[in-house]
Amino acid sequence: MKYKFYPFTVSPDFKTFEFISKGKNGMILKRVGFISTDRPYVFNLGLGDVDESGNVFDTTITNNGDTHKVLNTIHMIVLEFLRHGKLNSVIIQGNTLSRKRLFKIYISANLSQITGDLEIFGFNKGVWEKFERKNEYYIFLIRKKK
Amino acid sequence: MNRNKKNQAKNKNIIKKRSAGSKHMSVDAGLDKNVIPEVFIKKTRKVNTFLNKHGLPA
Repeated sequence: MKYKFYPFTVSPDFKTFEFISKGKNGMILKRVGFISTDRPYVFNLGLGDVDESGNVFDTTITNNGDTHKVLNTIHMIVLEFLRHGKLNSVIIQGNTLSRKRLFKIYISANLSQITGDLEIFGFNKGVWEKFERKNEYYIFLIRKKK
Repeated sequence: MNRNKKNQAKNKNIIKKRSAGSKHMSVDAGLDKNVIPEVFIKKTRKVNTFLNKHGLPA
């Protein structure tokens, strides 16, 4: 990846990742979790800020001025997760409208980089379809090409 | 220990260190001890409902 991202730590089972966002509001610990869904090999991506007591909040607006670097880091983490478990798929869903839009803008802008050996789907008008820049999506699925 | 053996031992250590983690990623055994946050579980329940209704891409 040609863009900057934060170094991160990973749990031995490759399901929990953490990194530190450094910006205008200081240093904020972020956690990315891949949680198993009812479907085999399908994981839901959770993202949140960790406070001093270890509690995770996924609705906090950090506003740390490093959005792009944070998104690049999540991108790297997803790549590592899929590299580790080649059959895995990742569901990404922003929990607010602005986050959904942010994910869509990021994927659109980095589509050529993301879709090397990966395929991205978006859910639009009641059906899954291959990601297209012009369409609106509120949930995404990323997996290795079959 | 002759120089060759010293170098071999040195290289072995380097390989060990590199395979333990890359420059941007390191393994933290402590992260496994964290309980999955409730907020992540709640969101995943919603995703399960969604997947049950709409399935996965072909």
